[in-house]
Amino acid sequence: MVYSASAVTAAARYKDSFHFLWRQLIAMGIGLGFLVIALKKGYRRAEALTYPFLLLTGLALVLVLLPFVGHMAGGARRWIRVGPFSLQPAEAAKLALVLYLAHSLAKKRDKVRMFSIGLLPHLVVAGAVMALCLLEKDLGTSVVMALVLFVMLFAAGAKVSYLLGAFLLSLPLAWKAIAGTPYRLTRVLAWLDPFAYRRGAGYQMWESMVGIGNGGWLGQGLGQGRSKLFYLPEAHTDFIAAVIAEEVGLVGLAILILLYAIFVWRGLRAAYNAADAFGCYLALGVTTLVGVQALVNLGVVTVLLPTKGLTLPFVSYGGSSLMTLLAASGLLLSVSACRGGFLRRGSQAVRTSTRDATRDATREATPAGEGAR
Amino acid sequence: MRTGIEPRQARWIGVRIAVVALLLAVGFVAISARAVKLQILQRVQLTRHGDDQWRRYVELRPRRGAITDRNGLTLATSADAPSIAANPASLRELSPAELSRLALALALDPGTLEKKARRASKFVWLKRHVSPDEAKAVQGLEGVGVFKEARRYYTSKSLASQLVGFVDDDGVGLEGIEFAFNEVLQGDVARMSSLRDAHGRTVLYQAPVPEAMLAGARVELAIDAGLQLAAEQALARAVAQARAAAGMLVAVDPRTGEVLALANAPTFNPNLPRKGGLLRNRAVLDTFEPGSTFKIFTIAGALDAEVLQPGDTIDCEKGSYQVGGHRIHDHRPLGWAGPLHIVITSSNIGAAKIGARLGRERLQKTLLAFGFGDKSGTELPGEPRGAVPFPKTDIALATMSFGQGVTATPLQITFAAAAIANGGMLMKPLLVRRVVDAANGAVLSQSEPTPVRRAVTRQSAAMLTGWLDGVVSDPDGTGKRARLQGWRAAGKTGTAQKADPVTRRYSVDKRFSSFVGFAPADVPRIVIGVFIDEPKGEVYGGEVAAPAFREVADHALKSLGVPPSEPAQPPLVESPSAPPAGAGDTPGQPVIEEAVGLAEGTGGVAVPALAGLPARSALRALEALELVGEVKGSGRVASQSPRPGQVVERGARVRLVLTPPRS
Repeated sequence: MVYSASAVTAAARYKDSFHFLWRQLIAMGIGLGFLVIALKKGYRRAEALTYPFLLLTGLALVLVLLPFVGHMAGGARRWIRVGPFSLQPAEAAKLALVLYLAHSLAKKRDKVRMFSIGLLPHLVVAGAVMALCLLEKDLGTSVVMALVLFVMLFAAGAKVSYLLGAFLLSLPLAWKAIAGTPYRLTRVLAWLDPFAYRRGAGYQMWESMVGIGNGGWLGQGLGQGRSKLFYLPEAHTDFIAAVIAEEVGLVGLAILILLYAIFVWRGLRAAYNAADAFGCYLALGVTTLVGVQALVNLGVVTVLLPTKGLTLPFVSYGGSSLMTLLAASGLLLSVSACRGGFLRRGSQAVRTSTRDATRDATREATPAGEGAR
Repeated sequence: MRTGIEPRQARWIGVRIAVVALLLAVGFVAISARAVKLQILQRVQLTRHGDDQWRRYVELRPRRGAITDRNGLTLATSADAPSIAANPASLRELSPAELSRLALALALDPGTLEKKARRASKFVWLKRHVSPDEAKAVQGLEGVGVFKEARRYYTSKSLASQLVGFVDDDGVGLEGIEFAFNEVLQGDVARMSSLRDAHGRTVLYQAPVPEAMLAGARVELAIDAGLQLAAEQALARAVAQARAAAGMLVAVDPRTGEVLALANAPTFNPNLPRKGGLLRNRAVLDTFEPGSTFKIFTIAGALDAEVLQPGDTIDCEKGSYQVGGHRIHDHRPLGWAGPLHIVITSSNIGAAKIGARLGRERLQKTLLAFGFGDKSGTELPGEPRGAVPFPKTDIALATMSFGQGVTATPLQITFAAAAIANGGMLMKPLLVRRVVDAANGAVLSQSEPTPVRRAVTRQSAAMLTGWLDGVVSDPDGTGKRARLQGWRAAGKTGTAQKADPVTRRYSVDKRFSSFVGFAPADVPRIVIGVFIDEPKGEVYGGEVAAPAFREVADHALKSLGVPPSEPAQPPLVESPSAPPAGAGDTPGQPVIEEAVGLAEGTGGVAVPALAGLPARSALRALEALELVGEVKGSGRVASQSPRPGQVVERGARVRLVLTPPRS
């Protein structure tokens, strides 16, 4: 799909229609390496890396803001150039945050319900990471992080009242983030009526809707989409789902949604059947990360939600994202592979189903394969 | 393995995971519902909006069809040539060195180039139809593009240039057949739906139409390129020898009306029409007072009306005859003479008396029957009718009988003579033989020989043909120099006085000399009219035009494979200083002493005084008088030529010199 969506743009911009495809394949190769390592070494070894990883990504997030390190693109400074590739620290930061939350929540266990121990540190750390992302003008990542944070805190047993309070407290912040930035405000207005704004702020949304509509039941056929002929900006990254919907139609889009649903289902099962608390929270975090991001992206593409820069997990072009997600999948598989549920210990039925889950979870790497298409 | 967790808490976590699962499931369902709405329910509206922006119709202009002669020889064809265009904005970004390189490569004036760079548009032609070398020289310059454009090539250069015509830079026919058959040659524009990307570029997804299907139709002219070339060469020689202003030649197949050659001298190069030359097809578009060739038709009418018998004798008054207040002269004074003698010596007095026998109504009717005073019906637009006024006075009747006071185009005269050669049947002129679809060779339209009307009876035509034979074969004939070796020719000379538009009288020295004839005399295969406008020195049609007839007729009969009918006629022995046919006259002496009214349709106009007027008002004033203004400079009229008050012909040019007003 990346190839189909990006070939025309790539040919125009780099004189090589395979430009994005090669990069994506390389990222996939490295990512699969991470996946295998994570699976072989087991997720528990990763727990030891939590703080170094969090510090490293935090540092990278700060570094990327520095003009001589960070690389600008599309008005945002989000990338660090490494040779021919540019890395996006915010993608790694998501995984770092999930690792940190899983580690910290598992460690604190019962104290999670306490405000000062269970809630505040997490809010502070996550808030710092999200603030750094916001400084990069990366609202989408911050939103996903916030959602993952809330879900993990909620699942780990944090008091619902605290969460609600934090949510209410964050509302003015969110309002300031939106209303304070003129382009975000117009985006929201355009989202409410994309047709009226189709020549301006709503252009991307409108073109996305037109492209999706053009797909119909079965689509125009692979490679036959028209939106990608420069009508739809970011056709190979944030809006790749619109190209998929146009080229393979409702049926194809439904299959894609189904794949994510299966991923989420298997991920949550892995969390439920995890051998220990860290595994449980880690699986939950990774699953939420993928699920929420997919939902938000699809919501944006179908104009259910206002536009924000978010990639479609496993599918969109973007090396950092793919490598992070594959590494995260490796951890998830590793969690899933460990027998013995810490929630329902001793149940024979669970044991056998865990074995099934292992097999199934391996199959869940198929969305990753999709990403390379 | 961390296992220290209470079952109650574990259950809680399980429930909360289930809640998360539920929330995510709701999200997926919402997305799916939205997808159904967009892809199924709103599909039609969205797709229509999409089509509006994606679809575009591309007009594929077919390649302009070729123009060929009757044998398929190409006279005009189209091929791709590079053209140089640029975006003015990117021109402005070029360095001065690059700009001067561009100007040098295209041989453009740097000032012009700068002017083009200042344009507000996004596209400007720099130079069209350039050579491959020029195209190569500008390659690599930012913002300067080379486009393939179809260019018209006239492979036979000036051959039949006025007939074929020419096109403008966009390939639109401006003159001649190119203009008259513009739509046919251009062909149907193929409309193809295509895909457009967001940058407005076209992405074709239908297979392009095959080249041949997109070609305009081929127009096959009736002319024969070989005969045309011979005609142009003979005409050019005749014009040069006579130091004439211009010449025209029309060669016709009398049986079909096909125009086998249509020459104008001087010619021009249609590849470079702006270089100048005679662009106008005067043989078809200009009228002249024909002169003595008209005696053919007067006498034919008289024979038909049975007011003239072959045995009649007419008093030709010893060369001077009073009609009303006017006196008519003959070049060679005759006493009593038969019609044969009147024809071969071209007696004006004899013709006037025959015309008088015929009468005013019948003379006019006869001339109209021969196609004068009406469009001959060629495909070329703008053909004049010519003037055949009703002769109100005796002198008008007399002069009309020998071709003064009427006007006709060379084409009309030749076709009227062809009617005699065709046994009295006037044919419609055919310039185009057929129009052929270039793709499949299907004939789109075919010209069939079309009789217009019977002008005279077969008997009258045959009788007259015998007399016209005498014009060429008789030792006293005015057309001796038209004699052919091997065939008998018949014809008639003409030397008309030209009206002086300024004085509104017949000019003292300007003549319109012609010879119209056909051969072989018994079974005519070719009719040729040769017309020399304003010859100097030697002016008589028998001297100036007849040799060109002989050359072209000889070529035509040989190429048509007409077997020589008789070796009898001895070739005319020419001596360079031989006296003209009208020996004894002073060449150039007017036939008619006093001016008679000019032919209708022409008329003098006094040039208005225009000094001090702005250009636009001056031009409007000229236009009101049917004059053509030529403006030089800018500002107000400083001087003009001709002077104010001078009488000129309608349609004449008035040169205006403008100077900017002093502030």
